[in-house]
Amino acid sequence: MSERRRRFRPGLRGQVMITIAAVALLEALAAVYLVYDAHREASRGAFLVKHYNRFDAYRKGLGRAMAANAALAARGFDLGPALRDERASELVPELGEALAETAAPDLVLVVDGRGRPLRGEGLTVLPPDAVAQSRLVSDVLGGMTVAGELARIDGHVYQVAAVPVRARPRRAFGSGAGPEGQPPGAGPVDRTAEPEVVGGVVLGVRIERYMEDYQRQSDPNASKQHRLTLVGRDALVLASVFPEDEQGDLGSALQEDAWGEAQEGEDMVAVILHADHMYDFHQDEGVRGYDGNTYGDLGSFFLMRQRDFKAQSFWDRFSSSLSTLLLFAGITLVLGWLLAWYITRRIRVLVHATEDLAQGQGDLTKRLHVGSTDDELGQLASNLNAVFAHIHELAAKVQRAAFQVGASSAEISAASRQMLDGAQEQARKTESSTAAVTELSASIQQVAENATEATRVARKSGEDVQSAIGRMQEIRTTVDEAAARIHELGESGKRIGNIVEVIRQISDQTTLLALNAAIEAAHAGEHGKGFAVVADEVSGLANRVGQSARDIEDLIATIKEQTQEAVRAMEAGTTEVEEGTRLVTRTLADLQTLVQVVEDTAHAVSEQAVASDEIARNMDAVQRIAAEVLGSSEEAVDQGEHLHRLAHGLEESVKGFRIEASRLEDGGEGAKRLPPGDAGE
Amino acid sequence: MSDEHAEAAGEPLPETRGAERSDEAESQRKLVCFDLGGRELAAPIEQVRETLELRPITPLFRMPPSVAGITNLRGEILAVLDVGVLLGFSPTRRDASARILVCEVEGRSAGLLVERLGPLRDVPSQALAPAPPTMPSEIAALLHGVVSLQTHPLPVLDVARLLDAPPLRPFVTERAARAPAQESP
Repeated sequence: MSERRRRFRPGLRGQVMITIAAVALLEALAAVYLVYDAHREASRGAFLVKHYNRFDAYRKGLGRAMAANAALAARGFDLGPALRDERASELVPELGEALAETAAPDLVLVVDGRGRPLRGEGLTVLPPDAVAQSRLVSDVLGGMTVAGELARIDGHVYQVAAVPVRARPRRAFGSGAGPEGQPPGAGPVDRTAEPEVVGGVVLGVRIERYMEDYQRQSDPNASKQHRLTLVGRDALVLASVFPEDEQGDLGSALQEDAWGEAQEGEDMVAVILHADHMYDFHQDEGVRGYDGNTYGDLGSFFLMRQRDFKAQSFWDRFSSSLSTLLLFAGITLVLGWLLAWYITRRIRVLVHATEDLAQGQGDLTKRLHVGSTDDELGQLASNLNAVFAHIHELAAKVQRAAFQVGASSAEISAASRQMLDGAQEQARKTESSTAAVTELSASIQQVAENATEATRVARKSGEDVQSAIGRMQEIRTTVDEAAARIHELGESGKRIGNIVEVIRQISDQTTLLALNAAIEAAHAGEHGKGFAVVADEVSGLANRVGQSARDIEDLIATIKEQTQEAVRAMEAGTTEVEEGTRLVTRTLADLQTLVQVVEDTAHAVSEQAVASDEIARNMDAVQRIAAEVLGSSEEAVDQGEHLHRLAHGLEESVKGFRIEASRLEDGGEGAKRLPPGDAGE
Repeated sequence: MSDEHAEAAGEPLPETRGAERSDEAESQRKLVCFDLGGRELAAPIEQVRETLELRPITPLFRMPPSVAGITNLRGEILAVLDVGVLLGFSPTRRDASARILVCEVEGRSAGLLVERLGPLRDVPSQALAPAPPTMPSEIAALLHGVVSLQTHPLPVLDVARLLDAPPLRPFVTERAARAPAQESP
């Protein structure tokens, strides 16, 4: 501890932290650089606008200066009176020279009051009609000073400056002097009159000169220079810094529908594609200026800068920063290697020390020898020593416990197996009981159904018997009625007998009378013969009537006899019916008793069926429980065996360690008895 | 008629005379048949006056058994004879079929009690044969003869002789004796 205080040595964590902080600092610097670079690139749009405004101001400022020059020159040469007196041609060589000297203009034009250009050395020659009709000249002759305007004259665009030239008029002579015919300068100058415009001076510089000046000033690197182009209507290039032979289809390339797009950071920006190059650009729309006899929209200025270097910029930047990155990477690698070497050098000692343990033939008696404990690794070593001691003790205890657990688990396993056998037996018994009870339940169910059927049949029989009794009573009534009828029939027979008796008596008397008549006829002799025949006939009729009466009497007797027999038979039948009714009534009573008994039986059997169902359900539940018990028992056996295996494995595992009780500082007195530990197998 | 009565009274065999007088009368005789003692007997229709139903018969004192009694026939006192007793049969039953046969011969009339009246039979005159000799003479004396029917022999009573028989004589009414006498001239 004291040594550590004297000499500052950061811990492992400190060393790593310092290294990481250094790398982080370097990376932060690189990031700042890259962010700065990216920012510069990202602000190019505003950058171009700024430069274009500079160009614009430059152009207009020069225009105003040129106008001042023209005004001074005109005054200095006293150009007004000369123009008034139409002797300006005399001034021409000097005037042209002076004007050319002032601003090196490309266009030098002096016009008289009627718009006619002067000719001479130093003056630009233009067609007189074009000059006279141009709006610029008419504006100047109208008294306007033009400064910083663009004018398209004779196919070229100029930055123009124009001033009117004024002079007091001379008095005219005579009234005959016409505006055309009278030569000027005829009279003296009218000092009182206001000066009037007598002509104008126009100076112009080709706009290309401005553009080239600006291009040159924009950047020393030619590829980064700003290039300007003025494009008129119908894609006509009015002026450009591009040489004529390089222009090609520049006009159409600048049209909006020909623009392309390019990635710029997160955004897409519009670009112009021309002659195998890609350009960033700024467009100034609606540039106004003179064009012939009009003043108005001339076209657009395009400020363009090559984007080519930017397209290559990734590779440029990559290549330029690659060395830096490589350097950083190299430094980081070296530092990391050093750090790793420093750390692993000491950790390897620990690794070697723990290798034995790791390979399973651990010698728990080994201890690490670490000289210094002033950093984390030293502490780790001493802690590992302590851990080894703990593990040593723990292993010894585990060994003892494993032996005991093995023994116990063997007992548990045996007990569980017995329980399993019992449970299996129980399950078998329960299953057969359940089957028997189910069968019994089904039988009782069948019996109950049969009893119900029997009740139904018995009831039906009772109803049938009841109806039979009714029929019998009907029969009895019918028989009684029949007997009464037969009795009436007998009575009628008797009456018929009486009548027949009367008939028979009448017949007897008739016979007697006929006999008497025959006797009388016989006594009458010959006269009585006819009468005798009649008497004979009457006698015959009487005999036949008597015979018939006797036959009727016989029949009546027979009928009477038969009727009596029928009456007797009916009485016997009635007796039989009564007897039958009595018997059937008794049978009905018996049958009702029987129905009652059968119903009671059916009811009892139904209750029995319910009870047996309940038993069957209970048996099912018992069987289920038995099955669960069986499953649990099997589980218990499995678990017991598993436990036993675990205990054995544990013993085997612990057996791998070498434990010497003498080297242990605390506990572990029984650690040497491990080998015979698997008696439970 | 009067001839018949006269001849019947005078001649024992009237059929012979009848046969002489006409062929028809000769050939056929009418017999009134009746039952007595379970046997069929007959009487010639000439000797029968009329037949009666059984009517109340009043018995008389001290009458022989062959006389049943007397009865009132339309104001005439008529003796009713039980011929069966006379012929040796038991007394005639007086049941529903019993009749009284009123006979009249030569003014003498009497009623014969019969068990039953039979039909009138026409028999040829030649069929009447004399009573067989085996028959007792006192019975045969009361008969005209016997007619042999196909089924059985039919004895024919001679009512005149019957009325003349001594036990019956006093009881026969004589009223009718004058009438044939008056007619005969």
